[in-house]
Amino acid sequence: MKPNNDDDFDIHESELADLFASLKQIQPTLTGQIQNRTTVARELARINSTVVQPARPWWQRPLSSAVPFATGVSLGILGALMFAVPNPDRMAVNQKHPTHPTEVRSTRSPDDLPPKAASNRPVDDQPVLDRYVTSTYVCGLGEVNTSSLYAIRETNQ
Amino acid sequence: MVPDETIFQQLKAREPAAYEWLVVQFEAPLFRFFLCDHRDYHLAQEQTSETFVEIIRSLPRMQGTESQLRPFVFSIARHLKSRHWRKPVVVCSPIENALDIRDPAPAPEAIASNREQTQQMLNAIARFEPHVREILLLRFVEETSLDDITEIVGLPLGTVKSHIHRGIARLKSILTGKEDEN
Repeated sequence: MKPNNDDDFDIHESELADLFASLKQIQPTLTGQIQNRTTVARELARINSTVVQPARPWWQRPLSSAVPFATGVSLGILGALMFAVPNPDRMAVNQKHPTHPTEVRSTRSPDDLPPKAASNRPVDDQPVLDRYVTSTYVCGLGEVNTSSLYAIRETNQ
Repeated sequence: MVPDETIFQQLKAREPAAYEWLVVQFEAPLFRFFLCDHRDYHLAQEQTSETFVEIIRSLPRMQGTESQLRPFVFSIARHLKSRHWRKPVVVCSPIENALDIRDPAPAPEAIASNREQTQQMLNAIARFEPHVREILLLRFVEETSLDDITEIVGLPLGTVKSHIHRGIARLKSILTGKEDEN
């Protein structure tokens, strides 16, 4: 139902109906109709797919970062892993070629040592040099004092 | 062309079926509204499609009832027309979409007979100021009520009536050739 405001133009509408009749016949073409429906369907699909998609939990969300930052972090993690994991090759080399000479260490003085059996001594006439090391350890600090004692022992029977 | 409450709520919920109804109801009026303004066929088609996109985006936020849908649609169209820009749009549609649509255009003989009269009216309307041309087209082509026109163009009722009175008089003088004689 038209409001009362429209009653003022009844005479003009009847006169102008024929004049504007040709403009009323303008219709969009088939291509235009397809374009309208395609555009509407595409826009609805775009909006509905955006709205319906549930939010991902935090552990599945992607994190964007700058390429230099990501590269630096990756290299840092890689380097830390290389130092943390023991290298079998390096360990084998260290065992073959020890950097320090092997020493016989003892925390007891020579007087405390029990007499060793004669069968364990070398048979030749050369004297044997025994080294005795005494160290003092402090819990939490490690070795704080070390004293060495060398004793020449005759092997002649 | 006023939807019932159900369709209106479906439009707000962006239901595809409701938008099929909307396209059927408004594609021809919107196309005429644009074409009669600038007489550029391709631009009118692009603006019609763009109007539907804007309706989809903004209709859920629309304040008002279903009776205000028509002013809402033409307000968007009028705003879009005022942008005066044209962006290239390439739309590729599957050919099967054409099977469900009948071409509502009149037969070629009817088109030929009406072409001269249509061209005469478009020439006459093109001589009006843009806002007067909009009011005349909304009133006499789309048969929009005066209250809806005031809502669409944002002018008082008295101003709209005045534009229509003077527009009719001037249109008659243009069509009878009196304005050119003066």
